[in-house]
Amino acid sequence: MKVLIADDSEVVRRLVAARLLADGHEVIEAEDGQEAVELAVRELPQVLVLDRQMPRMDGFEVCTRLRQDPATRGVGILMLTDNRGENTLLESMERGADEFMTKPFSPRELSVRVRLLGSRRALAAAG
Amino acid sequence: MSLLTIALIVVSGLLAANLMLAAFVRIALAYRNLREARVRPRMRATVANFAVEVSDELPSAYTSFERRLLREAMLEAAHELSGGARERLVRRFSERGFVAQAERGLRSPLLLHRVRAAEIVGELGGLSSVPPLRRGLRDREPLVRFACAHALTRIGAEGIMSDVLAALAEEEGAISQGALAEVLLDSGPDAAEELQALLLQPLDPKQRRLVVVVLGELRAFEAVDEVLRCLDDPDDELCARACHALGKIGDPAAAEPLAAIAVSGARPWFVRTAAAGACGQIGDPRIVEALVDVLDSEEWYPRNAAAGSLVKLGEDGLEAVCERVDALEPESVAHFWGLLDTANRTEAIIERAAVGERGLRRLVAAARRAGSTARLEELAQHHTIAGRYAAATLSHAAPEAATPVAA
Repeated sequence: MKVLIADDSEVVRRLVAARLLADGHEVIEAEDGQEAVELAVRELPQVLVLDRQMPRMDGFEVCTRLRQDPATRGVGILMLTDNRGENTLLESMERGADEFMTKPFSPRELSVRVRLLGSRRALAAAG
Repeated sequence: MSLLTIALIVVSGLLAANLMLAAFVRIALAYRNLREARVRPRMRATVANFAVEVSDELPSAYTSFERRLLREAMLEAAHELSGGARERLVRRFSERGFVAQAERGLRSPLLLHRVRAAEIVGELGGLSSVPPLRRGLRDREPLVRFACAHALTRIGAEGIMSDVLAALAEEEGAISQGALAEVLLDSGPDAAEELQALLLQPLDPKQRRLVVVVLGELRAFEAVDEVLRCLDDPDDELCARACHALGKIGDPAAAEPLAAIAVSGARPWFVRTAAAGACGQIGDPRIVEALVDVLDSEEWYPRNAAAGSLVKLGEDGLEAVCERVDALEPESVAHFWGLLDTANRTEAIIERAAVGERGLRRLVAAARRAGSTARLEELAQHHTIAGRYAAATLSHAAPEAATPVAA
């Protein structure tokens, strides 16, 4: 499965990528929201692990843009944010995120969520 | 050789030596940055692989430069992780001797080294780090004492709360109340019980205030009785913080005592303002009548807080504010109109005003006079009864009540 990681923190990208590569996924990385949208359109990943606060374009805006574009509408989006507030969770869902996790995060949990999200999205695309 | 020549040679020599030293420092710094740029990503990648259990090996670090980068990479990773991955890093961090090194750093003569050491121990230290951190609470520098207190609450050792509280209360003034409370909040929800017990003991006033703030932030429902007792304390500052805390906790049992303080003239304005504001947070409509009396107060802050609370307390509260709206200042009207707008209630109010509810018409007109016209402008774009009413209100000529037209 192809997974795009969008986070401005290199440390987080390294940690997420290490877990997902070990799970056998193909991983691509973006350092900001704008790059995430461009890579998502070009590479069409099955799942996007998305930070909320990023330079140039925030995670919510990335969600909105991907959901509006017919080519990327089907990508599974997992928001991985610093903020565990109710408002962030609700806004993430309203913008079209499928899953929500907060930092600090468990790589094992992330691994399971990404796998299940990818399967759900694949089933939805097939059916 | 003349004296002048000798002086010139010495000056030129010194200048040349200075230039060479500056060049050397620049080259050394550039070389270090270059090495860091090359080694740091490798360290991060290896630490990430170790943390997520892809590999059992950490990068070898022989020099102090490599050990520093490894320590930083492990700290950065641990900060982002939870669960088994974090535990794995914490264990290895200690085995590598980094915790012991940081504990020694708490005795460094340099202030920043001591602060950083406390941060490291707080992030990845364990119970063995508690004694040196406790000693750090008596450091001569407030920043170090604060960092040690924070580290202790993050480690979460039992029986430290009293020492931490005493150290933090000393910092009030040097460090903001919010930052101090945040340190205690890091102890997690279990801290409430310990803090509640401390409140029953004879504490220094600063410590009592801090405890009350934190109990409010923790929404410590079980501590309501202790916090309620603070409302009778002669310390006005403590009483005001207890009002804020009770508002956050939201137990209806606190509504009547808070309303009584808001109405009573025995406390200064800032206590009555806090009490009136907390009444709205609790949201018990039984206190509307008491709170209405605060609308007649001559002081702006309590009056405004009461109006803001009343509009949250259902129809009776809203009606009471409408009746007195002409006597309130525009700033006060703008404030609670904003509260109503945030609660998505202004559109319904304008619609009801449009079909003739007199009290609400007064309220809408007051909001327009106060400059709160955004919702009116939005509705004025629509060809509906409310839209026409909004347009007329904006043009300062509110029409007579319209009759709803049957579809």
